[in-house]
Amino acid sequence: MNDDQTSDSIADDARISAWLDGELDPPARAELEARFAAEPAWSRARDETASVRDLVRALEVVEPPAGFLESLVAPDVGASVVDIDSARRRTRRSTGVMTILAVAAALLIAVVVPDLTRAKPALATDVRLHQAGVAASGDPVSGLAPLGASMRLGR
Amino acid sequence: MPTWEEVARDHGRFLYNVAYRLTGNVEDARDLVQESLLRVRRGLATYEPGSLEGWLARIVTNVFLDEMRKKQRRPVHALPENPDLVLPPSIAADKASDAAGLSTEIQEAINSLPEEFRIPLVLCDVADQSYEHIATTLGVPIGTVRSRLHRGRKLLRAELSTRGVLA
Repeated sequence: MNDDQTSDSIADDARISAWLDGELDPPARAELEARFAAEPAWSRARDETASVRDLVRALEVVEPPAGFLESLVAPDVGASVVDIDSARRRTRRSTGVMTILAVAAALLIAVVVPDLTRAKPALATDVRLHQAGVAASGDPVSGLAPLGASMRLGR
Repeated sequence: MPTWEEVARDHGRFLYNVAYRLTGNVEDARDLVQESLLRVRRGLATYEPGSLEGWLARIVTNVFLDEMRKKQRRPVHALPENPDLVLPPSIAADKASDAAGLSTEIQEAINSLPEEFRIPLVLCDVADQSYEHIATTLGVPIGTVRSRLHRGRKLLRAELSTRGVLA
C-alpha cells in the first residue's frame, strides 16, 4: 500500500468526523488523538475535514423573507393555515369521490357502448321483408321506407 | 407546552434556516416551513417536552423527504431548448469573492450533495443535532449517520475545492 492509498483510507475514516463532533467515547477518542499526534496523514485528514465542517457551521442564519413568518402567525392567518389544512382534507375527500364517479362512468360506458355498437340493422330480415312487400304491392320504391328507418336506428 | 403561534414566532427562523439549507432556494424553503408548521399544529398535542428544536428539525426533515419522494414520482419534463431559461446564472467573479458570494458557493455545493449525505450534514452542522437524534429522525443506525456525515463532508470538500473555495 503506497502513501496515497493510506491517506485516502485515513480520510475515509468516519471516526474523524465523530471526533470533531464530540461523538466518540473516551477510549476511541484517546486512540484517535494518539494517531493525530503521531502520524501527519491523520492530522492532515482531521484538518481537511475540520475546514469544511467549519465553513458550513460558519454560514450565516438565513433570514426568512420579510413578513413571511409574521404572515403565518397573524391571528387571521393562523386561521388561514387551519383553513389550508381543512381545504386539503376537503380536496382529498372530493378527489376520492371524483375517482369513484370516474370509475362508475367508465364501467357504465364499458357496459352500454358495446350494446349500442351491436345494434345494427337486421339487413337480411329487412331485405326479405322488402322483397315480400315488392312482390305483394309491385312498388319497389315505397317499400324502402321502413328499411331506411331501420338503418338509421342502428347507427 | 407552547402554542402553535409561539412555536411559529419563536422558532420560525430556525425552521426556515434548516429548510433553506436543505432545499437551497427560497420558494421551496417557504413551502417547507408552511407545511412543517401545519404538522406542528397537528402534532403539538402529542409533543413531549424536550428538545423543541430537535422535534422541529425532525418534522422539517420528514416534510423535505416527503417532498423529495413526491418529486421522484412526478414525470421528468424535457428541458426547453434555451437552457438559460432554467439554469441559474453563474456567479460573477467579483460577487464570488465577497461573503455573500462565498455563502452562495457553499450553499450550491451543499445542493450538489445527494440527499442521503446532505440531510445528515445539514442536521448536524446547521441544526446542531446529535448523531443519536439524526439517527432517530432518519430511522438509521448511528454508525450510518456517522459514515454518511463524514462522506458528505468529504464530497462537499471536493466540490468546494473544484469551485476554488477550499485549497
